[in-house]
Amino acid sequence: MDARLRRVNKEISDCKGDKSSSIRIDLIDNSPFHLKGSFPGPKDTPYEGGTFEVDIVIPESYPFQPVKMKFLTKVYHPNVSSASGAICLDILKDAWSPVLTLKSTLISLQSLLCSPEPNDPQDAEVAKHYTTSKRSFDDTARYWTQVYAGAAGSRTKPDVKEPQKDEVAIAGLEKAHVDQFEGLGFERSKVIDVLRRLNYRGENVAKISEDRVVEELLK
Amino acid sequence: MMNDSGSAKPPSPPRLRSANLPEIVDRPYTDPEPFLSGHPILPEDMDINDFSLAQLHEMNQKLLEESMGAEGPLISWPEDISALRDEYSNLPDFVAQINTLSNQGYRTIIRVKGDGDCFYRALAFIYLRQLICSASARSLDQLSATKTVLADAGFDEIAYDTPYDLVMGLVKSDSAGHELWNTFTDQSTSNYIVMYMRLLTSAHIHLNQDFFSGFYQNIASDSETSNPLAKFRRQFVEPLGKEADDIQVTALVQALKFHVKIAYLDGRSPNGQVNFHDFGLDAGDAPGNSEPPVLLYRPGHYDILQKDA
Repeated sequence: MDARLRRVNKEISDCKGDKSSSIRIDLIDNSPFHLKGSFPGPKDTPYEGGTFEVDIVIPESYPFQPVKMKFLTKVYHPNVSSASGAICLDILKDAWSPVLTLKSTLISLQSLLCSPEPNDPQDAEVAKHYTTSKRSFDDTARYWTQVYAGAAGSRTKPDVKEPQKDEVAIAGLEKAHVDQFEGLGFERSKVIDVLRRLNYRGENVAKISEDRVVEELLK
Repeated sequence: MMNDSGSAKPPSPPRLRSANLPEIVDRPYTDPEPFLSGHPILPEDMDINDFSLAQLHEMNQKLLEESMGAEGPLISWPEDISALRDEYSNLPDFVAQINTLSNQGYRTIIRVKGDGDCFYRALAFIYLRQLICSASARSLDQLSATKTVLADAGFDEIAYDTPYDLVMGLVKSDSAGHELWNTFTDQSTSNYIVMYMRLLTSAHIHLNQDFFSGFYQNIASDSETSNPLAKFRRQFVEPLGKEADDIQVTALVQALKFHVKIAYLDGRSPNGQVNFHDFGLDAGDAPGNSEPPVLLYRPGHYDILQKDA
């Protein structure tokens, strides 16, 4: 039997057999080379309570070359693209070793959620938010976890089946700031977009003049 | 010029021309001076003695790259050592050393692809060939003992049991000779064998940290990392394509409880002397009855050297 197939099958059954682990690996279609991994968000982080799904593609040259992984669940994290789910992690690139497995790699992703590396970002805007105001960043990451990763939260009412997404919270902004510029007659979605790009958060708010924001809004 | 005589000749075939390229002028073809490897490395008016050591080194590297061939098989069929001598015909110090080897009876070279895995592939080839040829229960025991080393080092069984089963199956199949060569030229199988050798090397270094940390300081000192040896194994031992240094060579030979001689072909001995280094033989050990297999080392590359074809 093809050695790669043999190894991947073992990895899948090992993961299924391990009841003590919270890491899951499932087939997406009939191919064992395209899988879906999932793990719970780590405790004492803004990701706690969420379940994070990862798209796994096993290349022809696996395990000599790294497995390809990206988040299917939207994650607010400096090392994960908020748009595409692409991940910046050394073991998925040049630090891969054939000793690593799907399970150990998913565990590494779980640890990445515990310890962001804003100096080596995948998503520059998110990384800026993280370094500017950690508290505001945590709020946004927590909100994303509730909205996209299924975590229960104080902001979502239990009687509402599909909670209305708060675009301001998703962008990691303050409602008062958005209201302020919307009040000047600009479209709400445009205000959110501009304030997000300008990283209008925390100490930065004092540094960015109202004129500067308006200038951007008029572009 | 040949194309100026006009109508008596058949029309010349159409040629692609690009405005950016200089126009091609037909000239009578003359064979260039035969240079080694077909490349005019040495200008005709210069003697080998005019070159600096650095230039000689560079020429050696160039030759090495050409003679290893990026396109060649992972392991070549046995070749007469005269082929190697021809490649070095402009470098007398190398030729002298090759002659020495030849006079000692080393007439055959098996080339191993220069892809960063050459040491592991070459050693695996001669090790497995010897295991298969000895065809004893002891050789199977020896191999299964190496699996214990990997378990002791704490590797995930998933990472090593596929390559282990493959290597064990190969030894049990009793397929020496042409079949073994076929196995080693198959990219996937061959790489799993290399992977097994690499994991074993890494495990052995891990289990003998005190011994190997001395080596490691010679290679690099990395004070920022709490466990530099672990990082070293991860970066320079386990992944395919990372060349083997003395530390890896020593570790793998020890882990396999193997004995190998390495002949150094480096062009640095004007009288043509070739140094052989023993690996895997402790100072107190008496050399065995049979001669150990030999690897041929040229700076940066390993091939297999043997007496019979």
